[in-house]
Amino acid sequence: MMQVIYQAKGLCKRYGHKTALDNVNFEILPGRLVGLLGPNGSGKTTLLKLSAGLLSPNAGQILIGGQVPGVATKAITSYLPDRMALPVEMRVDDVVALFADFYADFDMPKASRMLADLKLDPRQRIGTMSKGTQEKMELCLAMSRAAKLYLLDEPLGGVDPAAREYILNTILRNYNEDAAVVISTHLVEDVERMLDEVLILKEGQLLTHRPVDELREESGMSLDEYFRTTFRV
Amino acid sequence: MMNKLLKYECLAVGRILVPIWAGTAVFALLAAMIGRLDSVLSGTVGTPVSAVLESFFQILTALFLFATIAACVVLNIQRFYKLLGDQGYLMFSLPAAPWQHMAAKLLCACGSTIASILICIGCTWMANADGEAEAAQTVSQQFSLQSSIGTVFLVVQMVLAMISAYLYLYLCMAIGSRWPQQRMLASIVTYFVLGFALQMAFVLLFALAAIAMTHLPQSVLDGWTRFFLEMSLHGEMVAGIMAGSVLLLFALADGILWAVTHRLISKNLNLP
Repeated sequence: MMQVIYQAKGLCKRYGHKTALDNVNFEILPGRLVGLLGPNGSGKTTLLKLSAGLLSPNAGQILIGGQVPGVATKAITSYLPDRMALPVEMRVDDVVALFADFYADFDMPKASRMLADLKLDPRQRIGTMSKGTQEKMELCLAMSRAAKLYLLDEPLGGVDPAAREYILNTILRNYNEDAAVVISTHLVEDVERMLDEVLILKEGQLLTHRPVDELREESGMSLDEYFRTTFRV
Repeated sequence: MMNKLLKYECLAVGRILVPIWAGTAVFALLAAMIGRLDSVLSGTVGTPVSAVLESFFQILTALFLFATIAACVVLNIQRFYKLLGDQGYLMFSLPAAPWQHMAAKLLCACGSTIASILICIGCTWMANADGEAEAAQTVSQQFSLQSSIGTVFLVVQMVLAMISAYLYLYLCMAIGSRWPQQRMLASIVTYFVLGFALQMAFVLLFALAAIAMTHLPQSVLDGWTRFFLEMSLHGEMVAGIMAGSVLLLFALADGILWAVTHRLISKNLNLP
């Protein structure tokens, strides 16, 4: 039997009096592409931050490869935040060297190939790039790792349709096939074709977690239509 | 991991500080060269020109000396502030423990500050070439007055005080980062409010201790008076005890500041 790579058990997170996640339970198997969907404020980013070890839960726990988020899980998890986190004063080759230094699973030739496709000069400073190029570079670095779990927070947020296509292709072509990929997004239509499973959050609670095909069959709707119907105001 | 973090921290800090150190050294060297020229041309027509130039370069050197220390402190504060901002998403995703991030920043901050101070001392001596021998004599006299243990105490005390200063700044930034917005303002306000609160707490503590002492029996007070009078006959021992106590206090303060800041950035990290 395939070992679960990701497990959330009774996960709760509160910010003051506001509950961001409320008793969330689910498991993800390796090799699955999972869409983490939900409207703004539903707890998607909080869930990914908890998984990346950037936040601590108030109750419950997350297990990645059987371990709570920490140094060991960070070594096998590739996290793409929902913002530009690369140091703007650094050059392209400095950041690549940093990734190669810290992550044993970083594939340098793959990263060089992907960055060459973006036509980036290795001596170019990150601060001089356009916002779109910075985001693409961040994605390339995250996908250049042979991680066991990819956590991609809004990789399609705020980019034009052509860039969206580039981002989706980059994810599909470069992820480790034995790994699980969790992609959080609002743009359901763009990711629907690539997803195996869907996790839908509503006001911090897990509304559903099931294979996308099953959801389509049961509801008689596409995932995008299901999402729109569920969250129609 | 610690070595790698330290390497990247030193590279990031060095990228900014090394040119400033080099600039300071160049101006100090120019001031020294013109000073030497001035003494060679003493009594000739070139004297006023070289004297003006020497003063000009000495002023520039002084400005660079100030800029060196200021840039070093500001840069190290900024490095930690960025760790709690957007860059934290990258840094805290690295397979390194929060204490390693803190230690790398602190070691680099202290190392670069000590290097800046040493460079400033070196440049001051270089720029003031005429007074160099006199200054060297004064310093050697000062140090010869103290035992080598006393000098070690003094240096350790200065290093611990510097660690305290940086850890206090880190703590203020860690508290400031708890705010959802205006984090820099919150950090600055924390710096002043916490500083004031700590001062008041110590004043209160000393006042309470003084009041408590007035309630002690006369025999105890007499005993203490005899003890201190006896101790005053052994000046070196008293100085040693005082210096040791100061070191212990600094070490204790450093430990508390480290523990609270570490707790905030490991269990209560609040990236924007």
